[in-house]
Amino acid sequence: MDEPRIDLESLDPFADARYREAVLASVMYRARDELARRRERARLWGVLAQWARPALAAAAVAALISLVTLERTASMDEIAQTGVLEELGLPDRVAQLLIVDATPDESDIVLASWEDQ
Amino acid sequence: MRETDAELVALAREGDEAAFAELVRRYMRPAYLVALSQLGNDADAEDVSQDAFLIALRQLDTCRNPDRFGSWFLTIVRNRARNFRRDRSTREGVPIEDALGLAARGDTSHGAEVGELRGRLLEALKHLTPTQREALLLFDVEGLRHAEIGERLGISEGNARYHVFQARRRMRELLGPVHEEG
Repeated sequence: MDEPRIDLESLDPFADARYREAVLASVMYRARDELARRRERARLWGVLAQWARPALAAAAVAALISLVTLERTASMDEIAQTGVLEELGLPDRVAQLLIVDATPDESDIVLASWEDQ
Repeated sequence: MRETDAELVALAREGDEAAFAELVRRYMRPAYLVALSQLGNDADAEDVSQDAFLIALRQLDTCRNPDRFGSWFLTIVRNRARNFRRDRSTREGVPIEDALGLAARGDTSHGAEVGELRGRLLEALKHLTPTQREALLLFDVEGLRHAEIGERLGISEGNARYHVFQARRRMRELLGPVHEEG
């Protein structure tokens, strides 16, 4: 299955070097803004990539400080609660019932009054 | 060493002018031929093929397989040409002859004889289907192989061969034996 080739060279304007250069110049002129935008975007990504490692390290330090602070705050709450109960002079058994928020039964009250004496 | 399309695409994505210019050099002729095959008019084909480069640059991040940039890009050209045909009012830009300060191509250094031949070829091409025109131009002007044409048209190699065969036969009927080459 073959047909003789037809000479279509006259349909090819790109055989002319001046034409090729004119097309190239025209496209590149119209593409200049988009290329500039892409260069700027690439530059910003480059800067962000340079920051990535130090920023991650800083985030890790901040997280560590936050954890330590939270731990310490929780401990101080416990200390403060114990201190109030001691100031009220409640018997240990009653104080424990208050801390766990439990309702005392009769035996608890008897034992508490006995301890208080 | 000649850079691959994928390397050029990666650089062009970052705004590298030289890389994008090289892509334009590589694909300006096939883009023009695909547009010409769709439109049958060289001034419109110039506009559409140039617009397609700008569309491709804006959409470069969506080119998932940069190794196959050629197929991806020529699809943009084809779609742009179809849209252009539907809405000729979107046309913009100046034909290259005007940019060069030349007269109509028939009267350029190619000479009036070439202009006449060109006119006859363009007229004959109108009698082919768009696929036949594209296959013929990519094969006989751009020098692509049947497999490459098939890939770019989304058809099999055998189908591409068939379209080239049919296109040549039809052109020969329309033009007569004077245009045949060995």
